[in-house]
Amino acid sequence: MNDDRIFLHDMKNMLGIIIGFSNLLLEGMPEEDPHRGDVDEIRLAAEGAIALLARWSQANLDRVKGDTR
Amino acid sequence: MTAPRPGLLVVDDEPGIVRLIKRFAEGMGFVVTAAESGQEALEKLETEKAAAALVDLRMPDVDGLEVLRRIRTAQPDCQVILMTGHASLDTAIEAIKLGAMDYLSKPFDFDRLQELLGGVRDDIERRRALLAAESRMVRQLEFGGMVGRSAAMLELFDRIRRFAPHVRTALVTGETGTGKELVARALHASGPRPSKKFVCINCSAVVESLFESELFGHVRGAFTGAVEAKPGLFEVADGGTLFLDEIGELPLPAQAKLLRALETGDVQRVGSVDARHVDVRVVAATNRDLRAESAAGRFREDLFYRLSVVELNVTPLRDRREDIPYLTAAFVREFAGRFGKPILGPTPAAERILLTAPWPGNVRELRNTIERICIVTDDRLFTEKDTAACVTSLPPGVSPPAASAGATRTANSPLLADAERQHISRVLHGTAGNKKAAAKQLGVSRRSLYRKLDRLGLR
Repeated sequence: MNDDRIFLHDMKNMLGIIIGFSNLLLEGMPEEDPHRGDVDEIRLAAEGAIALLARWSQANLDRVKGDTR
Repeated sequence: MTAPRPGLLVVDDEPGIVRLIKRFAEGMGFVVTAAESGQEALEKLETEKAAAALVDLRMPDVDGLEVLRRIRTAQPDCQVILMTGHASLDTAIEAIKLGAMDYLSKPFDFDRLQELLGGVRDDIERRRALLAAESRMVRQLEFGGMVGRSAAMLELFDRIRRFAPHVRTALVTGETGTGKELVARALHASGPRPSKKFVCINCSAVVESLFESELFGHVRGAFTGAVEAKPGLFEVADGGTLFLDEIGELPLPAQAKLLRALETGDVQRVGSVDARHVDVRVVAATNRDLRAESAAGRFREDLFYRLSVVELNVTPLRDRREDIPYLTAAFVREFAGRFGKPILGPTPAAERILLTAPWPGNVRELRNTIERICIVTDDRLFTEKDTAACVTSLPPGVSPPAASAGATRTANSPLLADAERQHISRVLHGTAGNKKAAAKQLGVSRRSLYRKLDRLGLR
């Protein structure tokens, strides 16, 4: 379980960095910049990964509970 | 002069996070110091000053709560925001108890982070504006070198203005360091002849046998050593004001002659039979209860009544604490100018110490304290730590910071002069400012106590 938590923490950190730098890029880009859409995709994917991570950790938690029962 | 940018310490063992926050915070006008471990953060705290710190909770060597604890002691004015990947209620409560400003969970809500850092920046800006306003305000609140907007001080200024044109003799009472001499000078400056001399004598610093000759002068050969005729201070002050500080220390024989001079305006040089007429306004000052002294036979009652026709009492600083921010602003401006440092004033936490300290040495002690702080500090806003290190008598509940290893010589280093200053202040406080009694307790002569007070900047 502890290993899972560390994995979760580090994974969230990485995804946070991807989202954070994507936001910084977007803030510095003019509205009409053709690359905006690409950066948006990167950010959306990272946000999707965080949602996946949350689902995975919940499922993991349920499995651990089931095992102990 | 543009204001320097506030410092932000970022502590996280993930270099990408540190770089991300650095980019973000620099865009908001912060100067960012990065640390990639708790240990590195503790080292950076020794040298770098930060207005705020963003600290990751979970780090391998020294964890975030420990870093938070160390920041609270090393830089109490620094606002700490903790960050964590997995929010736990217990650690959040612990963090807030330890004085963290907030708790952010990862991945960041950048709007929230922006709000928090913006708040820190605005607080500093507001503080600067407030201190600048107080500094401007001082000019309007100043009267004869005294600063005050408390009811007690406004009444004192009013009484000085009303009495100054007419008064012949006045008695200024008040504890040590309240500014009795400034009251006397204001009486002189607001009087009819401000261009004439203002002559001071401290009655406790004159050898008893020389009093008469000091005040009234002597003729040649009047006593051994009187090789030349010398005018007394009454003659020197003719047309102006003679200020007799610590009048309670005047020996009884001199009191009799002083009373005569006050009543007739005639002074007689020692050894001379001729009296000279002088026109001198006499302002006496004391921190003793002269009424009680005269009841006990230590001070001539008739002289007391003669002097106290007009009595001006100066309120101790602890009873007019609302003046402390303005006095602080005035002294900061004075010493920042003298030392060529761009110091604006105290942080809110530092100001709390100044507002609640007991100040047994009154305004003089506050002034000396601000001078020491201005010597020690290198920041625009001086901190709680700088202040606690320089205030001789701290408010209850505030302890002096421990001297850090390898620190340069500052006011919190255990210098003999500091120990001496503190001990003398305590003894003086115990004797309610009575220097004769304090000298006796300290086992030194009154004169050597005076020399010490001068040297240690306690006068």
